[in-house]
Amino acid sequence: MKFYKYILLLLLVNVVASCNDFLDEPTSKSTNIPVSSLEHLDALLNDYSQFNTESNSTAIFGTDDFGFETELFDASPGGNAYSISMAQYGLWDRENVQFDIRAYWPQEWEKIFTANLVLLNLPDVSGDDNEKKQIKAEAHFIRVYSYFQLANTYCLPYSDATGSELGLPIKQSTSFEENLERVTLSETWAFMEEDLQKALELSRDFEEVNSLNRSWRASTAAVNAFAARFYLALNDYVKAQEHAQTALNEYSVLRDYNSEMQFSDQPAEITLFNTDGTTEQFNIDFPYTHDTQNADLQLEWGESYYYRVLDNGQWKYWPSQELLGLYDQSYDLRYKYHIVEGFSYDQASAVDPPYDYPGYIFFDRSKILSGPSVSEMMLIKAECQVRQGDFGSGITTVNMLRAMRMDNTAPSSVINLAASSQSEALVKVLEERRREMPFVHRWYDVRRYNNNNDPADDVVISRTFYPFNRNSILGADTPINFTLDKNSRKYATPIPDSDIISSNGVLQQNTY
Amino acid sequence: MELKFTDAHFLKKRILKTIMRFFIFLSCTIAFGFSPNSGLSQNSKIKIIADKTITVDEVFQLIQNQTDYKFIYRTDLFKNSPSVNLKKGAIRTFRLLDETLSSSHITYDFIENTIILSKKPIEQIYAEQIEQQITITGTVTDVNGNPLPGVNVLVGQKGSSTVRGVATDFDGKYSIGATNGEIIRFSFLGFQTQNFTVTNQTTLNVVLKEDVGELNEVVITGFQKISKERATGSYDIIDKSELDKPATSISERLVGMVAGLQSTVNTDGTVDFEIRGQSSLLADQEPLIVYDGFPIEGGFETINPSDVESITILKDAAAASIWGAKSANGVIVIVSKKAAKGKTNISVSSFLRASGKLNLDYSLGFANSSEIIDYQQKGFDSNFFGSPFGGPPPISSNALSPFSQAIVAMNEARLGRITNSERDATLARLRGINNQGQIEDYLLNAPITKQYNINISGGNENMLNKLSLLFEDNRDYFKGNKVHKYLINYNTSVKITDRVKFDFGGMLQFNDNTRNGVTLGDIASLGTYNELVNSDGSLTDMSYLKYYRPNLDVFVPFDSFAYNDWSYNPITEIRNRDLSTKQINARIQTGLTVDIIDGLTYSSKFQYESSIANTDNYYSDKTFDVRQFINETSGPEWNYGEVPTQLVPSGGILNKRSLEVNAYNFRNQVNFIREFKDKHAINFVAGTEFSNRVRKYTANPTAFGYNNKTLTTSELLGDVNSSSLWDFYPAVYARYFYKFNLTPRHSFSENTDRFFSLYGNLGYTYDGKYTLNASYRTDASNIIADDPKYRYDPFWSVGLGWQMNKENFMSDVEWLDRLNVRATYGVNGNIDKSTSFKPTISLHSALDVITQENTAGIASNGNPTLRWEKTKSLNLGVDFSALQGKLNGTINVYNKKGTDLIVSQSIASVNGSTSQKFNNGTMLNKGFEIELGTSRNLKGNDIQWRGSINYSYNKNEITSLFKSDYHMWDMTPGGTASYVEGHDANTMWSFVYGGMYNFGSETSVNMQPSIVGIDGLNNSITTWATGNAVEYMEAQGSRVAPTNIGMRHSFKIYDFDLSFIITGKFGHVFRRQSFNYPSGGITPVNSQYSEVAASDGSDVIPIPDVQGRYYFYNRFYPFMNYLTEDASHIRFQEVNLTYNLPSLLMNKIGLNSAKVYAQANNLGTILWNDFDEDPEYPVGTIKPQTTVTLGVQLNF
Repeated sequence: MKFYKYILLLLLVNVVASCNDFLDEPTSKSTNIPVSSLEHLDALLNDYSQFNTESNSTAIFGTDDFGFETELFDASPGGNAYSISMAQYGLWDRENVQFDIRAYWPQEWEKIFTANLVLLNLPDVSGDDNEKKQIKAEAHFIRVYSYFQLANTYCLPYSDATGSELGLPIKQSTSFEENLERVTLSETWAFMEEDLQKALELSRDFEEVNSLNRSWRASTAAVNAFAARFYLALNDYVKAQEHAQTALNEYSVLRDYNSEMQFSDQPAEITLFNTDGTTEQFNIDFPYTHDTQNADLQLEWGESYYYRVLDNGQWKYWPSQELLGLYDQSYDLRYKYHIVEGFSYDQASAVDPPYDYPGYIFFDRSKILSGPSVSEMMLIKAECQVRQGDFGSGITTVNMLRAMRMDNTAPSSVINLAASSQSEALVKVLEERRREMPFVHRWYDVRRYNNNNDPADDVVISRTFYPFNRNSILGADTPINFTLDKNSRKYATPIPDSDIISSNGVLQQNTY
Repeated sequence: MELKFTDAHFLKKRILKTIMRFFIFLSCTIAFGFSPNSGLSQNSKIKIIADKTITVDEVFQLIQNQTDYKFIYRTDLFKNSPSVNLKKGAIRTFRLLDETLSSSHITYDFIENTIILSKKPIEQIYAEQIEQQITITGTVTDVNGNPLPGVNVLVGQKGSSTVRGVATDFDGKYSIGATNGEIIRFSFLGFQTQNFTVTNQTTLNVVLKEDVGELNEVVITGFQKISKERATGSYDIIDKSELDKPATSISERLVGMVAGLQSTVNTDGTVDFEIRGQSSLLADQEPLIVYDGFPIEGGFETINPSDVESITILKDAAAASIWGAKSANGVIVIVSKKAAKGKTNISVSSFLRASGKLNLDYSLGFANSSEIIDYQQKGFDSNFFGSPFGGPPPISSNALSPFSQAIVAMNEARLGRITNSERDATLARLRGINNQGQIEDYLLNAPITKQYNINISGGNENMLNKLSLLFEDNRDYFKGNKVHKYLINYNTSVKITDRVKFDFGGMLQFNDNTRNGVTLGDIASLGTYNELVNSDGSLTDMSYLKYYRPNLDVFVPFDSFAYNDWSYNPITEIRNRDLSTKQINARIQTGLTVDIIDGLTYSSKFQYESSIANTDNYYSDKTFDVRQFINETSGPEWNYGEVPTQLVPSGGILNKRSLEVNAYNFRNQVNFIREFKDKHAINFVAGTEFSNRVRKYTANPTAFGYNNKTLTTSELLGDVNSSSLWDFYPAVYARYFYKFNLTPRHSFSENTDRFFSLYGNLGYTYDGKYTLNASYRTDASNIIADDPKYRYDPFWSVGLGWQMNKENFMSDVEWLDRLNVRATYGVNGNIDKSTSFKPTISLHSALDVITQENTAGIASNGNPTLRWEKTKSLNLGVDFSALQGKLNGTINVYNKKGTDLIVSQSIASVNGSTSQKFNNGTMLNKGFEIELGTSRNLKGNDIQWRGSINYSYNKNEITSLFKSDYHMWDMTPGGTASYVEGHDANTMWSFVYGGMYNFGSETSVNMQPSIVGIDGLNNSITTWATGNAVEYMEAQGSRVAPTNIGMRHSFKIYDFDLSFIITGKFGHVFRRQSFNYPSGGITPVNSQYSEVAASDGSDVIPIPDVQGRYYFYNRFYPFMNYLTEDASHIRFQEVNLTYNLPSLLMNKIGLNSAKVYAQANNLGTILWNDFDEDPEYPVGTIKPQTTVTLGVQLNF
């Protein structure tokens, strides 16, 4: 009988073994599949909607580009021109923002996860070796880009004095077991620089696909443009200018606002109920870029090396009076098209009685391109030139940009900036930077201005607004003053409390 | 006397060959290469252990011991017969009998398992007896009048062991001689034995009643039959008389029948079941449905209710673990009726079920028109309470969003486009309107279901056939909806040789489902003062429900659009669309059973199922949906006074999609059932199973310009990527706003589920008293795994049973018929295929619209802990029967512990996601079940009472689940996101109302309704409450009843049967209707308006004066703690009255039996809440109306 037992056992083993083939059939052909080819990774990176959005409330509301106006608050029904979270982020509340349920923090970590997934699977997937190399560099680029965003939002500005402050956790795999402890700021920046160097190995032309710049994918131009931004943040003007120049050499097309910008032709009529009982129709003039939430106009814009957008879920970019004051309101076409009058009628319901306050509009009501762009590279180049003493060249560089932005019927003295000293040139270049890229760069800029060797560009942000508590803005109270000091610890936004809890306390919160 | 025996060596070789073939069969190859072995006779073999010489009586004893055969003969018949010499070995029963009897003049007659021995041909014995005895003749039938062939009719003196017997023939007729004073007994397996004393009667027609106790003796697990006495697990078998009642789905018949089976009847009549509480958090929670041995795809809907022979519910681990990975939620095993040998039996039945129209007051729950206008006036005056989302519309060409007729009148007067008196006249007119009568007349139906059934069955020794046909015509609450259902079932069983049996079952179903009618939501959008028809009967134009009509009239150049008719009326929609789903389901089940040696059978079964559902939604261009779509996709040029550019061609629109499911199961199994030496009974099965299920979904591109007469379509008239809708949105967004998609593409998906299983079950009973049951199963599925070993997981169970009443010490306890004590422990499984060990991606089915490149997204971040969910259950049970069945019952106590349950768990978002599914949850279900029944004859066979009551209690608790923080939106809808450690999985989480609170400061007072938020701080209901929701929300009890009661009583009163079913659920909670706080638009206020209008805000959320974020209230108001009420209720489920026409009358007109019945369902409820809301069908939903069913059933 023993013999039969062996036969039985053998047969059973055979059954189980051959069944592995039977069970190897994937559950689905398209969803929930493991990564197995380079095409899969390519498809992941192609999905720009997973990468393009930056809902960074700290950057949107926390600078002097954003206006807190008590009059606007008063004129809107229920004070709805401002939400409590605008006040909490914009007035540097560090108690309540950690409970923000729509914090920016997870958004970038998701991108980092995808980058790590790509990096981990690359060695095992089938595909062309050179293409693999490019995708590897691209994944490093995605990772360093997100780390840069996070470090500039949730950590203190990096300087010699702050090197041992809390940085970020180093996440290099898709494992849930990886240590979530925050390393020091200097370790964080070292890790980022390492990633950046790997990203710079990318060698890919700035291609066109479907008659669009393929800015949703990394390219040599995009990586260099980002590197310029990166080194500028470290106040390394040599490297910043070098990379900016490399990017500009690859691609340097700018839109001429004189011929390539127009108003929307969509009627945006509002009925205003005047105090005298009459009604009045008002048509809000939006730029044509306002007309869609779709990515097509953003990709067609054509000045970005890399497709990222700052996304304001509250739909309200109220420009501060200070920002409005920087523009030449007669000839600056950026003012003409992006500063939209009557926006308070639309977004604050201030129609009965009417109260007019403008809004800053780029794409739709919520989005502004934030990826490295041609104009940013020109401004970086100009700033580096000025800071390195070559202020004349700096002004010339800026004027090349202004030619595309100012009304060409304006007197040349209005179109072209001029400076007689390095310090004057610096002020003018930095002002131009604000005019060109409001809301997008100001937060990062103020951080670096306050931590470079030049005290002249330091910024202390101060505004007067109603006090607020956890739940509401106290609109009947007396407005008070809010100030963000030069080296305030408030420059580091608190990490969401839910992450602190979920990590069982391994992840440390910022201290204030 | 010498006997020759079968060559033992030859037999051994044959068995070996058979075993080898069996294992070849087990391997992965799917092929029927097995040829039936006709050399082996069906006769069972008798084993002779050693050479011996025995008497004839001892031979019979030997046969009785080793087989099921019983002998009937006169005790002195073999007094003088010679002894028989037996040699060691095996011999076929009938060979042994022949040899034993060869020397005498005795013959034997074989009826079922009874062997009657007589000196002469049996007829002659009767002939002899007739001379001195009276002859009794008659027919034996079941309660339905079906003749019962093979019933044992035995006559004998009272107390004497000597009996004579015959069996009824194919027509149920018998004839037997007897003398006065003798006892005549009718016995038949599965029926109650009846005894009569012979008086002078010569005719004795007997109706045998099915013995539920007897029939219940067999428990069917889908893999094997186990006698109930020897089953250690917790099973429930549905009373056969219940299955006989009218039903459109057999699931209806389970409601209230079984302790521990919680049922919820949906408004469409389907039923959701849960066995012994929820056992999985995220994975499938439905019990497994098994039909004739296989899990089936279509569920209850693909089963003809009149074909069902029995339903067994497997509740505990021992019962269900043989189903392994799919069994954690319990198993419902359905067995179809099989044909019986004998005369062809034809049964015809039909029923009509009807109910009243929907109760609109309840199902809509609106305030009256006047109250609605009061509210809208209040809202209008305050700019809709300051809410920017619902404020009165400005006039402009792009302000076309609809507002109610009353608000439009107010706004038009404000803008000066109409006078105040015109406005007041309109408002006064609207206040006086109630459109419910019109809705009932034009949109609603009184539901009617008609079902017709024909069953034909019959067969002979070698072949049994059964055919059933069903047609059902179903009309629901809404005009324009109908379902036609055709179902054909065919079963055959063929005896190929004495040892090989072949079974075949085929099912073909066609469902034709038309859904042109409106939905309850559509009716709700009609409000209360919007009329469907004018006084002259013509249809009104209700386009004010779709547009701000005055602006449409002023700004939109109707005539320049493709359709200048912009009117809307739901009646037009119903008439001009054809939305239908046609479904074909087919199922084939085949089986081959081979008797190998005595007690050992081998069976191979195969099931193939195919289901194709085609949905065709056609809208003609007379519908508003199509006219609106074509007009509104014609570009924004009209805004500038230009002619619109038509993009979508004129004509109808067709959306078409199909779902195809193909599945097969292939199972090979050995069964060994044998008793040794009267003491040892073994019941063993083992086998392998493969299953494969492929689900394909296809959506065809929308067909535009579709003409359903000529079947032609047209291309789009322009490039969709560069076109815009009439409101400037890109045309590619059309699918977000309309029923139709402008970027039509084929869309495909395909999913494959595969399982491979090995299983075995061993039952061993010693001395008929002690039973040990053990089962083992390993399942593997095609989950994504690095190492194939992760795909396998074992499930097992052990059970012990003790039939105490058979012990000697219990023999004095005469009142106790039966006492069975059971204990089982085991592990069942469940799987969630949505995760995998590694991160996975999903490829998007279409190229990106803008970049024209392939894209993919992360589907899962990976679950490195992935394994099968396991439910470990312990069950202790007692079955008893006392006082000759006057009281019988079962008590079960169980503890079900779910471990490795997949839970969605909070993780630090640094890991790339804020939550991920891990096998990290545990859950406990504890409970007990009591079932009590009685069966009493109150007046002989004329008045009988059978009653049963079941009580079950279940407590569910999630015992471990790490989730760091909960958002309020996790908790409010319930479900997986709201699972909290230490709480019932179905806990109702509510906001604690905090009254009015000053959210401002002393100087800037800002009084708003609040909830009690984190740390007891008041949180406004106009912003998300932050902090861990578990800390500030209130757990108000379970939404699923812990206590369930079912009660059923039936009375037979002469020819009438009366039965009723009452169910009760207790100890849970529900949310009553809240006021709906509409902030503009066309939504009317609901019937709770008066409660809120009068409130000062201390008890309920009041209507605000000015609140810029009024639209935000809906995140809170439906979930307030003051809305939670006791959901306990008692439901009068069913009353049935059946009249069985007297058989005498029936025979005259050629019928075996006939019955007519009337049944009423949903008769009423007793509620434990003060708001008159049915907890299972709250206000604002469809509440099933009382239905009345009339039916007839004829047997030929």
